[in-house]
Amino acid sequence: MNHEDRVFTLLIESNPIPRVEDLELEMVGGDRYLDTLEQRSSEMTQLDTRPPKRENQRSSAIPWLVAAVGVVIVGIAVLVVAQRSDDEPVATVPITTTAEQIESLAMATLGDKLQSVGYFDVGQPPYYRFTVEWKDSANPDAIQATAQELATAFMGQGVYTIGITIRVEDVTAGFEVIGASGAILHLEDDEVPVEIDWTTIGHKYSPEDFIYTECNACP
Amino acid sequence: MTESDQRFVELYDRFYRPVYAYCRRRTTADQVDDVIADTFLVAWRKIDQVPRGSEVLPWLYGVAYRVLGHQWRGSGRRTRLERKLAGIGEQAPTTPDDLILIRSESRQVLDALSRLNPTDKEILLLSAWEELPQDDIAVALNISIGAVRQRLYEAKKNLAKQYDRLEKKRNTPAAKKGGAW
Repeated sequence: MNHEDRVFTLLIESNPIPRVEDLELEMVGGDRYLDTLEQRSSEMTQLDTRPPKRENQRSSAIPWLVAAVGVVIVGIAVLVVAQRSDDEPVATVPITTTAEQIESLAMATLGDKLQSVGYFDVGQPPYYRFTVEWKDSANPDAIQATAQELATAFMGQGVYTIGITIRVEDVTAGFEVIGASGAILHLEDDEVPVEIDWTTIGHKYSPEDFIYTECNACP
Repeated sequence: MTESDQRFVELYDRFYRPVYAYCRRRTTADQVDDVIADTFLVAWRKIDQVPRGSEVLPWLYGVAYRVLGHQWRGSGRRTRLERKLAGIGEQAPTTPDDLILIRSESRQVLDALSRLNPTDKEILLLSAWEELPQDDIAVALNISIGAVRQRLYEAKKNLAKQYDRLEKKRNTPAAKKGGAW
């Protein structure tokens, strides 16, 4: 056994729960759990359709304050967008873009290079993952070109690609693009944490802006 | 009960334990319930997309991995998790005998693991702790089998490298004396 295998064996032996059968769990049955899920789902629907409650007199100042702050923020956003609109027209942010639309757009753009599109709806906004791999080694130029291609395609469709992360894998020469809608792109290596700045939603960037500009890890 | 509901119930009853173990190996006891709830919520909503046969469990692991990833990204929990992961060997034992059994090598390998990037870490754990074959790891991580092979190979090398670094650090005279002063 070589050294690497020996260390790996140590890892196997360090499993904190070596046998799942030994776990002492108090679990509810699947049918009961299903009831709970359905009940919660129905409660959520009722909450969504319920008319808003009228606030009492004492707390009525809070919504006004929130509204005032909101107006200021929107005003600033409009100014920022107006400033940027000299260069490019500004489209609306399609938060409601479906997973299918994202997937078909990625497929149309990347073709054979696209290995998979993962979508999961945990959290807000929804979250998409594209895994792209090359058969041969990809150089940084190829990675950049593909990322740019993808971002440009999304923007061309009025879909903002925000919080995109490119994860460069050293050997497999592939990368993962993670994002939802909006702008900014990080190139991630081992040391760069994946942090998505959701506050950038709606902020429009050009592909040149976000290719490699935010990350020190770029080649 | 509809066919989909029936399938979800079966899936939940059959895979709750391994998914629980998967989550517990990666996060703290107080967070594990939330992760599991989110994981099965996704499974319930996407029951028609859940693969059949032997791919179900790796698919659920993949969802749980992403749920955990979302947590880490959300509020800097990654650092906390890494600390937890580094100390997971200390958390798991429940009896004094267990405590005695933990060897310094195990601590060291967990410490080395915590220094790897998330992908390396996950691929190693899926192989070592979940005992998944490479094709199931590919399903869990949504990558090709070829990529799994390459990444696993690299991850093992990186783990050994980190392990050696820690070993070297431990054996330096300064470390043995308890400091350079």
